Amino acid sequence: MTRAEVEKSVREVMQTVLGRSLAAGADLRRVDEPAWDSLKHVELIFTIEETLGLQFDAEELGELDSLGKLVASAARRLGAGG
Amino acid sequence: MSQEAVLDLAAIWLRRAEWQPTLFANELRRLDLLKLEPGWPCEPFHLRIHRNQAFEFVASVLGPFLAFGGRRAEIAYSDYDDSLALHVEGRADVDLLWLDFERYRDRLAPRELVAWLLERVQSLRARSEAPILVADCAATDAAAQELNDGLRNLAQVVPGVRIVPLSQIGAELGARTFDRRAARVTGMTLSDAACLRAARALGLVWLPAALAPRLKAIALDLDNTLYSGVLGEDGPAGLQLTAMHLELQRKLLRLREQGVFLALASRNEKVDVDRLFAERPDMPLRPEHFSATSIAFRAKASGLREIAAELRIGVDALLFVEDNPGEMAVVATEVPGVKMLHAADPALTARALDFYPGLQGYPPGRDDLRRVADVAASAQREQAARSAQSPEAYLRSLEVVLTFATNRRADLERLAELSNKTNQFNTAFLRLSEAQVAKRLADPLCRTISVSLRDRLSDSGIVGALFLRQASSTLVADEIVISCRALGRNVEHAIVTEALRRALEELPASEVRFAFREGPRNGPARAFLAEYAGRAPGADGVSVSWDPGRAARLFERLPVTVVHEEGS
Repeated sequence: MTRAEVEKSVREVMQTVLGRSLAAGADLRRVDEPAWDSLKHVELIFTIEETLGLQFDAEELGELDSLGKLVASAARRLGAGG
Repeated sequence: MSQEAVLDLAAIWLRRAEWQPTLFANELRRLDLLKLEPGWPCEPFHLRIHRNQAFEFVASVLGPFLAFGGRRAEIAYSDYDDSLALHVEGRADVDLLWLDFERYRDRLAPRELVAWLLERVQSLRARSEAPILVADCAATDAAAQELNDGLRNLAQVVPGVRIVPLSQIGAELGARTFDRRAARVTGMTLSDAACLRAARALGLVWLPAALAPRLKAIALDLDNTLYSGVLGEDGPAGLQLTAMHLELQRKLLRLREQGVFLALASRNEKVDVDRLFAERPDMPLRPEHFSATSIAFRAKASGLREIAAELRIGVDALLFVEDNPGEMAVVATEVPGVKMLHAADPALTARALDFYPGLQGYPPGRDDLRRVADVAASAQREQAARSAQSPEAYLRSLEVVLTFATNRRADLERLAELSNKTNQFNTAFLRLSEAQVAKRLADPLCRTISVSLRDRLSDSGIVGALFLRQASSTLVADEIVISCRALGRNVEHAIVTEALRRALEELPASEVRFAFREGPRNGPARAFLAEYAGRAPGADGVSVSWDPGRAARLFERLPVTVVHEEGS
């Protein structure tokens, strides 16, 4: 899986879980999105894990507070390049 | 019905069929569930959650499961409250206790925790007549098992309480039941997989069971549903009966044992179907398991209507299992109200029977098996009625025994079931919950009389209930319900007169007033009241002056044996 494919999947999950559209290529930070509260954060994590077949570390859950960071961590775990 | 509405009904059921692989999947997927949006109207209900942990991970995917059964929940939450103060504003159609029992583990032993919960649930019962669901402990260690045993006992003690067995999900998922990572953020320890399964159990099974009575019958297609292949082309020997087909058929048999009628709705020649059962003894389902059949080369819609009529049930209490979407579309438009399950593959169909709204989640009833046997005896009764010289001779030949019991607590579930399921002989449609029936049983001014019926052909169990109340010099029959299985034996007058006579001994009154509310199918109740009172019931019902000699005169000419039972 390429990094672009990982980003596409994470974007789809975020749009579905948060119930909003995301502009192509734009980042989304938790601090800027009111719907992204602690419960939605965990739901996002769960759904990304299910979709990509990976598991984030408990220690990093709180730090994954933007689309970019989620994509980066997921891509690293999947060894996704390009 | 307009052409547009007709098309909508077909489209709605086909869309539901498309949802089935997602809803009944062995491994549920959150993203797939979140994408499901019902395009059909869903009836709202109020769900009140009393909790000490997050329910939101369940709630966010509860919608599609509820929508499959035509419902949507409006949820009101308590705070995260270990003390379970039960402070949630607003009305409830269902109350749900959603607790992380781990939080009490260091402070209370399982027995102490159950005792405390019993007091809390009784407190909730005192202020809410809604069904109460208690989600048990998903852990499977010895302490959790002791706790869950205690919760099951609690549900026996407090009326209208059901246990949602998260422990079953825990047993299925094993080490995957809990995910401690999220607990730091949300205080929630259940894993995503457990939350998804809990949403399915609640949305498809436990909430529908709390809100509506059980479906009464399943009508089954044969070809490519109960086996692979086409009987008319492949012949009995050419049909494939896989392990999943066997599992499917065995599950249907278990539902029959729980009182759900099975019926056949097949486009085949009768002679071919007879050959099928004769030449394939490996089919767990046998001809005697079907309480009604429609086997003919014709539209299944008319067959389903005949099956419902033969079983004396409404088509809305019928589930039709069929592999052909075209057939489903026609039935959707021609028999509105009938429920449907698309039998796309046997494994999915078998799993769907564990979850289909209205099939599971109901307490086992004493009368479940009797219901099936009773219908089997009805053909013999009809024969006896045709050959009898008079109605009295017919009744005499049946050797009917009516057994009356007053305010018997052991009948509580059946009394509520009768109030909720009976449509034809129902005078008021109160649709009493178990909690409401329990209140009446404890009220000194009320008498609730259950009536059992047996004859030489079958024991029908409790078939009637009279919910009576004294109001000054009047005895008010707030509701009278008699199961359609008892109708046709000409015992309605005997049931009502003897029950009134008995109640009036304890609650004297000079007048009896029958409350009445018009319903879609309660013509038999209206006709009975009109005959009994000598005039048709109006909006206020209808009253009669009580004649103490009425019962004696009736039983002089009616060859029915009356028994009175005591007991709690």
